[in-house]
This record gives sequence, C-alpha cells and structure tokens, in this order.
Amino acid sequence: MYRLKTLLNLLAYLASVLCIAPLFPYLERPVQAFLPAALLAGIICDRLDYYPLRRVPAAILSSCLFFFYAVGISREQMVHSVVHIIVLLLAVRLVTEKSSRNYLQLFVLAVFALAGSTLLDLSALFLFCLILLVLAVTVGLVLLTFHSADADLRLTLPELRRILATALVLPAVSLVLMLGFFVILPRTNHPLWNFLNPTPAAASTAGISDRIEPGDVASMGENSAIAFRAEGEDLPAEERYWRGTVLNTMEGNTWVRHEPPTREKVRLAGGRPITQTIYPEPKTDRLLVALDPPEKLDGVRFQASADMVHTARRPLVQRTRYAVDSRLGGKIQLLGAADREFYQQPPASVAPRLRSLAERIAAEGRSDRHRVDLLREFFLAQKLAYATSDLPGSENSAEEFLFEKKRGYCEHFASSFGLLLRLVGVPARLVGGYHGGEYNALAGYYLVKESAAHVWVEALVEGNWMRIDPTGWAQNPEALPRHEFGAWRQLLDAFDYYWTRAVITYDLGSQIGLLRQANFQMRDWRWPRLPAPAWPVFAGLLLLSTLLLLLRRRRNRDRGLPDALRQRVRAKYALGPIPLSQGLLELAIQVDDPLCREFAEIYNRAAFRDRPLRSVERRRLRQLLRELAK
Amino acid sequence: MTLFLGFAAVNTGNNLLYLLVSALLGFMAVSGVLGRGNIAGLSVAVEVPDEIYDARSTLVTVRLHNEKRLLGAFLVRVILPDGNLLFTAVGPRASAVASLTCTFSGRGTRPLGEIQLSSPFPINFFVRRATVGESRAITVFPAPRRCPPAGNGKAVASGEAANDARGYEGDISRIADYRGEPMKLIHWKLSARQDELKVRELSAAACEPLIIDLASLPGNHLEERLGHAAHLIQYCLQKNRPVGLRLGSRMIAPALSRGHKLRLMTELANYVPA
Repeated sequence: MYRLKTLLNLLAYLASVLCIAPLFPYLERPVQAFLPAALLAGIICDRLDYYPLRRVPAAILSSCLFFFYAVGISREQMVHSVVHIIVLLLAVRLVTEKSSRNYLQLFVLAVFALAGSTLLDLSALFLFCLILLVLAVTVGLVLLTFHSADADLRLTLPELRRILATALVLPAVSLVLMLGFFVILPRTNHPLWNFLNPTPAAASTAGISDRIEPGDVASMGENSAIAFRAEGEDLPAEERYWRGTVLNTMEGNTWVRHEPPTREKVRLAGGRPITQTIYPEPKTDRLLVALDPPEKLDGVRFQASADMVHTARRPLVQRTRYAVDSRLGGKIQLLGAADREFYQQPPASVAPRLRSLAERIAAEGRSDRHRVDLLREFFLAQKLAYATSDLPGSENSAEEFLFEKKRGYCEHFASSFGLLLRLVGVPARLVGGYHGGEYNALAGYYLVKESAAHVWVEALVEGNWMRIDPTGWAQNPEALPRHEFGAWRQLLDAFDYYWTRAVITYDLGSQIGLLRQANFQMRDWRWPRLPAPAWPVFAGLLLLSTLLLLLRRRRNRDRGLPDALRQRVRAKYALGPIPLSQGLLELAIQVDDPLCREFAEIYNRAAFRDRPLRSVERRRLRQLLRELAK
Repeated sequence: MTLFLGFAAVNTGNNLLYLLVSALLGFMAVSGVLGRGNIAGLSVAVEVPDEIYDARSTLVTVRLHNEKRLLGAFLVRVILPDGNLLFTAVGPRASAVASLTCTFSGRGTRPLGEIQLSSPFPINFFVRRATVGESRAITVFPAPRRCPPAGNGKAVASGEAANDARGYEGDISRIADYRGEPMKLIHWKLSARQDELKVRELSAAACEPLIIDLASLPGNHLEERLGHAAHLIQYCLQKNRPVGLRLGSRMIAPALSRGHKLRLMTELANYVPA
C-alpha cells in the first residue's frame, strides 16, 4: 500500500526545486543558503512527522520576511523583492506541517516563483523547468484531490497506477495545448510594464563603438559573448563581413565617427542579392549590424546614413530581430562628386617616417588604384604579423606598428592603412563590424561572437567605396582567429537559437505573419501530386478504410436499439431516467405497454441466444419504436 | 492565478510568462474535459431489501458501473436521498459495490428518488454533478409497534390445530401416489405390496388463523394502529400462524407465505382510510 501523503511530499519537493532552479543565481546569499536548508529540514520533518515550527510561529516568521522585503520594493527592485518574498514563503511552507491547503499553497507559490524567474532570466532552462513543474503540479493537484477526500488514504499499486495513468493525461495534453495557446494569445507591441522585463547580462556591454583607439578591438578579442546570430545561407569566406559603423575622422591616434557629408549619396551596383535575419544579443548600443554591403533593413525602427550605417531608434536592450537585404560582392557607388577633403583629412600630427613614405607613394602612384596597390605592396614588404599581445600603444602607434614592432591587431592594420591612404590622397574611412562567424549547418545561421569584432578599410577608388582588409596581408595567417563549431556546441547553440527565434522574439508581428502565411497557404492549396503508381494504392487504402468503417457501423447498428426504446418509453410515460440495470422486459411490465413488451421479447430472443437480429426482427423493432414515438 | 499571470503577460509582453499562462490555460481545459469524462458513462444500481420499515435503518447496496472503455472513474460520490457513498476508483468497464444504511421516513409506495453523482476529480476546484435515474419504486412499511394484550388477553395467544393443508409434521391424513415427495414420506411397506411407490400425506401442523381487523386494534391514531398491525403480522408469521387482514370492508384471507406477508405489509403501507 502506498501512502498518498508520501507521494505528495515528493511532488512538493520536486516543484520547489524546479521553481527555484532558474531563480537561484539571482537570490541573495543568505536566501541561497536558507532554501536548501529549509528543503532538507522539510524532508526530515516529513519523515519524522514532527514539525517544530508550529502554525502561529510560522505565520509570524512569514509576515516578518514579507515586511522585510516589502519595505524595500522600488521600481528598480520590484521583481527582486517580490521574488524573494515568494521563495521565502515557499521555504517556510516546506518546513511546516502540510495539510491539503498547505500543499495547494506550496504548488501555487511554486508556479508564482517560476513566473517571477521569467522577469529575471530568459534562458531555455525555463522550458525544462516549466515542463517538469507542470508535470509535478498537475499530478500533485490530482493526488491532492484524493488527499482532500481522505487524508489517510492508502492506495494499492494497481489503484495508484490507474490514478497516475489518468493524472498524467493532464500534463501531457496541457503541454500540447500550451503550444497552441502560446501562438494565439493576444499580444501588444507596446507593453505597459516593459520595465519589469529582464535586461540580460550582455546588455550591460556595448559592441563595436563609434570610436576606435588602438587596442580597443584587441580587448574585445577576448570577449566570447555572442554578438548576434544571422540566419541565412553559408557564405564564401571572403564575404563574411558584417558592417556595423563607419569611422570617418581621425583625431590623433583615434578614429571617430562624425555624420558623413550631407550631400553624399550612394547606391549599390552588381552583386548577388541575399536576405538574412539578424538576431542581435541585447546591448546598450544602437548599431544594427548587417552583411556588407547592406541594401535594406526591415523589422526595427532605425535611421540610415549615407555611409550605410544603420542605427536603431532605441538601444537594443531587449531581444529583437530584423531582416537585412544585402548585395553579396556588390559595389558601393558614389552618386555625384565626393567630398574628398572630408575623407582625406589627416590627423594634426603625422610621424615624419609616415609622411615621407606617403609622399613617395603619392609621387609614384599614377592613380588612386595604383596608389592603393603600392601601399599594399609596402604592407606586404614590411612582413607584418597578426598578434594579440605586445601590441603598439604609443602616441605614434601607426609608425611603431609599421616600422618597429611590425605586429598588431586588426585595428593597427586598418588604422595605419587608412591613415596612409589619406596621406597619399586617396579618400578612406574605417569600417567597424565583425568578420567571420561560426556557421551552424544544423539550423542554417551564423553565430558571431564579440571576439569576431573587426575593422577594415574602405577606399574611394574610381567612384566606388572599395573594401580593403589589410589584416589579410599578415605574414602569419594561421594566427588569425578561426571560428568553428563542435558537433555538441552546434546542437546546443541550435536549441538556444530556436528558443530565441520561436519563443523569446515571438510578437504581434510574428502572429500577423503566421496568419498571412496561413491565408496564403489556404488560398494556394493544391492537392498533393501523387506519382502514377501510387494512385491504385491510395484508392485501395481509401476503399479498404471505407469498407472497414461500414462493417463496424453494421456490427454496432443494433446496440442503440435498447437505448432508443428507453428514450421512447421515458418520453411517452413521462418517467425519470431509466437505469441501465433495468431489463427491457422489466420495463415493459412496469409501464404495462404491449408495444414495449413485444419489443423486449423480440430483442431478448436474439440477445439471449447470442445471435444478431434478423432483418425482419430489426424492421419490426424499428416499426415498434416509431409507434411508441407517436 | 491564470488571470493574474495572463494580465502580467500581456502587460510585460514577456513570452515566458505567455508560455506559463498557456500551460495553465491548457491545464484548465484538460481538467474540465477530464472531469466531465470522469462522471460520464456511469450507471448506478441500487439494491434495496424487500422489507423497508418506516424510520428504521435499512442496508442499501449501491453498484457503480463504469461503462467507459478507457477512462476510469475516480472519487465518485453517489448521493442517495438519505446518505452518500464514495467510490475511490472504478476501472474502465468495471463495477464497484458498496453499502450504506439508510433510514426512510413515512410509509407508502414512492419512487426511490433522484440519485446524484458528484466528483471533484481531477482537481478539487470544481465539483461536477450528474443525475442518474432510478425509476423503481420502494414501499416503506409502517414501523411495527408492540401490541398490548386486548380483551381477554388472548388476542395473540397461539394454539395448535390440525390443518387441511399438506405438511410434514402432522398426522397421516391419507396415502397417495408418489409425486416426488421426500424419501422419508415414502410408505415402503405399502409400496412393496402394491408395486408402486406410495407416500404418506401428513397434515400440516398449524396454528389457528388470525384475522387482524385494523379498526379494532388499540391505538390513539391510525399510524399507531398500523404499527400494531405490522407487529402482529410479523409476530404471527414468526409463530407460523396464518394471518389475514381486514381493512374496512376489504378482507384478505389468512395465509402463511412470505409473499403473503409482503402483500399484507404493502396493504398497510398504502392504506388510506375511506
């Protein structure tokens, strides 16, 4: 025999652990220590059936804990305080005696605690906890119903199995229905309590900025946080440039961004159109990263500049997504005359060695393109190496990089090349963004981390902004960062990606999109085209299932006759419900009706001999039913 | 709770809260369907004894049958007009039997009344109810009251007298052909002489029949007299004394069988003075 209380205790422990798991990292240290202690104490008390913490002291303790955190509630700390109150009430409930009402309170608190965790953490751990919590709470509530009927109920194994088999229908079907409800529940694009939502840890960090000093990007190289995911096809290695910002002004050693000249206008020419969906991780900056060169963005409110920099109207602190149309291999063509002066502006002071180098190349170069080639040859001749340590950091970092240390990070390559371009008279700017990324073939997207932050150069050559990546000229290409997915990481990241895509970023737009898609599919519905040999098989299956259906209906057609008689008799003699235990003949005697008696005799004759009704008998029975109905 | 969390989900736009609310809504929908399915497809058969006396405890047997093919029936309470029974679990296509003592008040024939089923399954938030019919009628007999001696004090005195009826304990009344009587009644000597089985027919040992006249029974009111009559019927039949009944101008001849007893009691139960 199984004691119901023992099972309920187990489910209560499970529910408590599951609701606290996603919250645990956000709780204060003393609370973190108190919760496992309370759970352990609760288990011991339940085993011994002795509860030192009585009802009244427990109520006083709960009230004290409530007021302690309630007084600290503020707009910023609201979720933190409420969550602490919930988990502490749960902990107190764990160590006290558990009546039916207490179990119910425990389950309700567990659900509220899990709900509270959604305002602190959006990770996929929630789904795991939710599924198990639904299982524990629903089965727990079913057992609680039995417990309420009889607190000392003990069940045999077959009884328990039967109850659990039925109880498990609840979570199983609830979770299936959950998917449907999740899709159709009404949403708004402007939630009033948005401030309650979690600001992910990544949001406290900024990505590529509008200001790059030597060493800035190198410091990001150690950051393994995810920058964004880009859903789309696999790209050739030389095209994996994700454009973020454009730095167009030199202030000493530093490249900064100023608004591009107002009359500047560009257009994209050539290239292969490609569409991607970008899922940026929450950040404090507003830059919208896009595959270079981007043509069109859709899905967020943004501002576009002539140098193809897209800035969101609001910081991307919440998870979002946007679609980008790019031209793979396309050229950025300048419309009209260029503001050469703006893009050739050198810093106030230039090292003499750089100035003399620039003068020599400017004199040798017959055109802008030729000067670019000469500079490339110079870079190659210098045998520069890609490195992440012992980097140039002096005031004249470009000179130090090119002539002394000859090792540097991507911004050293780009910054010095950009400077030399300007010095030789070629308009140039730096583009900050990301390069590379790990392609997840399982789910078809690029995972780009902050460590992939990159800077390259754009030079205005023959009316086109030409992308030049001097980092690629390093003599040690093996030292360049490589990004590859392991099989397990690919799987885990794919799950995280789908979680973000299907759940976290699902909004009103997604709902409308789904509706539209369903509408289109309904409108364009076509019967599937079956290959010619499949038709006889399909027709045969259809015929067979129809025959089986008819056979089954034929076999069951006499089953409804006694019920029909009961209904007619009830209606005719204004009787109450007739129990199924009452035989037809008994009923006929009760109402003393010859039609009913004849019906009972004919039906019983067949039923008692265990043979089907003959067609004559069936016809007569139906006729009798009709007469009874008159 | 679902409403509150739903309100929070809409106002925060938090999709994880939406997931939780969706799960709760799904749970509510399934529990509703499961609760309804739990109480459907059940039939109740109530077995009451032949003799039910007014204001006396009577053992009633209730059989709950679950006609569903797959689903069991859990925590089903069968509510009778005078008491209820809880069936914890009845498997699919299975029955469970339980008994309870009921007390029926007031003599007469009447329908047993509505039988209700109720169940809080699967969760104790709502109790579902259904009415299952029980069209059979029950007859509640008047509660027997001990009858005081009347007149010469011999109103209920018993005595023995020979009876014309056939019996097994009286004197030999005649010899007859064998028609399947018990072996001890076969007259072996005579059978051997006549070459066919002969049996002794004995007269039944019986008391003098008693006819109870309701009008002449002691009692302050009708119910009291009916109680006395019921007691006398029981007493006489226990003593193997044929008993009859006079109700106004109607007369029911004395007899001894159990069927006769039930008939007399039913007459008393349904008696309405002219």
